Amino acid sequence: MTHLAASWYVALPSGAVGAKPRSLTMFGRPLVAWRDGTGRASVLPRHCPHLGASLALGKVVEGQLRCVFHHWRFDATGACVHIPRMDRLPSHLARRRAYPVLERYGFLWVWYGSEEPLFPLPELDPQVLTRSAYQRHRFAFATPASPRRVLEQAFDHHRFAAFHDLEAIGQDCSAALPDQGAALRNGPAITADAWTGARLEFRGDRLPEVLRGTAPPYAVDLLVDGWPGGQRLTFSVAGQDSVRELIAVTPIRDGHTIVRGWSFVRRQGDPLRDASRLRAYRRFRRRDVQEGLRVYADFRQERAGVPIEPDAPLARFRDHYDRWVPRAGHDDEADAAR
Amino acid sequence: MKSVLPRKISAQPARPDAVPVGLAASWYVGMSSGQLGRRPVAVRLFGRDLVAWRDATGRPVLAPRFCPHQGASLALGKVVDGELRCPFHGWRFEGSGKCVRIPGSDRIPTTAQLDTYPVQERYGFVWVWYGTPEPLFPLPDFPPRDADRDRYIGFRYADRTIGTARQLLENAFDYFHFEALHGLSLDSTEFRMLKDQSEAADNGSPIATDAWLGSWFEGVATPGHPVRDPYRWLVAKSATFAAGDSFEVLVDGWPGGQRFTGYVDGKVFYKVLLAIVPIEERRTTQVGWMVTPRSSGIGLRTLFNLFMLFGQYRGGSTQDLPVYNNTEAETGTLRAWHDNGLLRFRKYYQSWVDRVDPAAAGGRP
Repeated sequence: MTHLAASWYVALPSGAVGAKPRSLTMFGRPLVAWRDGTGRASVLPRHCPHLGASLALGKVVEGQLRCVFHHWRFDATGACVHIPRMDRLPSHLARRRAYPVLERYGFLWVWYGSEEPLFPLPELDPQVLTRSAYQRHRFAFATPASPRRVLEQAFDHHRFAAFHDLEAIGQDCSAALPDQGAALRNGPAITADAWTGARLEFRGDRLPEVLRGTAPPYAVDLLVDGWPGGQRLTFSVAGQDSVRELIAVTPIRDGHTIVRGWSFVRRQGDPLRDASRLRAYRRFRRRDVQEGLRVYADFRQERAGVPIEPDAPLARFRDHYDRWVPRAGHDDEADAAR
Repeated sequence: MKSVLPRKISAQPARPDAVPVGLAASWYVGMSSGQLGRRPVAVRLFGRDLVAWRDATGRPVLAPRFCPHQGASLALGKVVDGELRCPFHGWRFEGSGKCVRIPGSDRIPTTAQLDTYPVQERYGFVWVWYGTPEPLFPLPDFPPRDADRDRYIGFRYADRTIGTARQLLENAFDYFHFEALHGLSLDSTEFRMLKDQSEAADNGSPIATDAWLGSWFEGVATPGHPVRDPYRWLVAKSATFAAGDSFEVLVDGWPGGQRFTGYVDGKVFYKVLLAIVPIEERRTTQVGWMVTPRSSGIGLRTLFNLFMLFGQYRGGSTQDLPVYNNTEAETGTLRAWHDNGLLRFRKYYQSWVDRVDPAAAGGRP
């Protein structure tokens, strides 16, 4: 894939990887996802290193992925651990081929760009995961936009304001955050050089109640921070956080990305009102995304345009993302070795 | 006025060439004999648009599909007096591909010529030579559909796949997949490449030496318990036609096809012809015959054997085809000792890929 940052990406919802291996495409590469005997998920290049048959046709036997063609078996690291009628395997067969993976927040995450992850998968504020405090909703949207295009939307307050007929407020409208100290509401700190963040403020009565409050000044404060492949968002109204979000992407191939994540809407006590607030937020979210997708469908994907001063957070996010692209530079060689 | 075009015209628009990469120079099947009647037929073969018809003697002819005059599809034409007549301006081509008549003109340009392919019709198929202007070896023999046809009964098969010709052909030398993919449980196995064609005499008359490759496989099937492991039992029984324990397979072939003789305890139980229809890159069909010996009548045992053979074919191809259709051969680089036969085949096959003359791959000028 062109211009993809080294990062953690979502492969699939955890529940989509079961007892049978399944084929998937990510980073423009054919892959297979499966679970070993302990339930640990594993993502490998799809084709067997022997004669190239698809491992997705195989079967998990004794916790090992067995190729259908000659019954070579692979462990979760992708090393060949068994060949029928061969007692000793030559050492070159034991090479590790798996992508680094993690399961968190109901997703299977895959590290792209280097043999070992360059930073741990960022965490959410543990509070959002308590169901008594937050209602949650998982979303997934397919788009032709590149991962960078998708992720920069959260830093592009002009788009947000224009779509929803809002007024951006604050001295310089919005600000790229200088350091993580100002973003700790989003969750535990992220490895410093993988982090980027911004704070944006809007006013207007076209937002759903959950994002603007019930009485003037109808203002929402958006705190966004993240890593090259995903981000955490907190919408606050009158100093109280109201909606939290996790946004991640699945880079399938050039021109095909899936946006995935969770919305967490804070409970306020009355279950019926909470349910309708969640519904209203989901409607808003879907409309917001659909508008975006309509634009993406006819988009020039490369960097273009005339920058203006309020685009500073957007420009900073792009620079940040672009710095992480060359870090994946050697991955194609690593992949060939896989 | 009567139209010169056939009443029903199936749209066969010209498609860009998609010549299969790494296809060996060899004899291939173009179509079955029955598919070629009195009308010309549009054919896609070797990644090219071709036309086939029968000339005055009934001999099949295969040539590029579009008329050298204005490019009309000759498949819309008609065979008149054994000559293919273009529907557009009535140019006529004889079996050699030469234009023999241009209405309204006495002079026929020497360039009015279709580059035909060398063709033969045998065993119910139209065979086509690919790779060089003239065949480098004669079409091999398959007696069960020729001289010995009264002594065998069987069926014709055809399977489409996106695998390559090499993949379909190397399968016979990849004996290790019999156990893994097809679930045969074998006690002892022996596999060896044949050194001399005299060892393959049961398959038919010898093939030109440097076009020939053969192997011998034998195994003792261990059916196990029919109730506890019925699948394994069934596979073992069908591999041995429930007639013994040990079975042997003799394979030999040429770069584009193979002949098999299968034995149980040394007695012949089946013969197979495997040929390739190389339609285009990533589109290949394997075709051929599977037959079992019969006595003068057709007894119950023969019918049983035929049934078992059909079961072997269906079982085998439903397991092989998904593998063919989901393989990236280039990504497979690791080898084990049991790949020796396969590697030997690939080397042999490549030497025949190297003999392809790119200038002649579109038919002989």
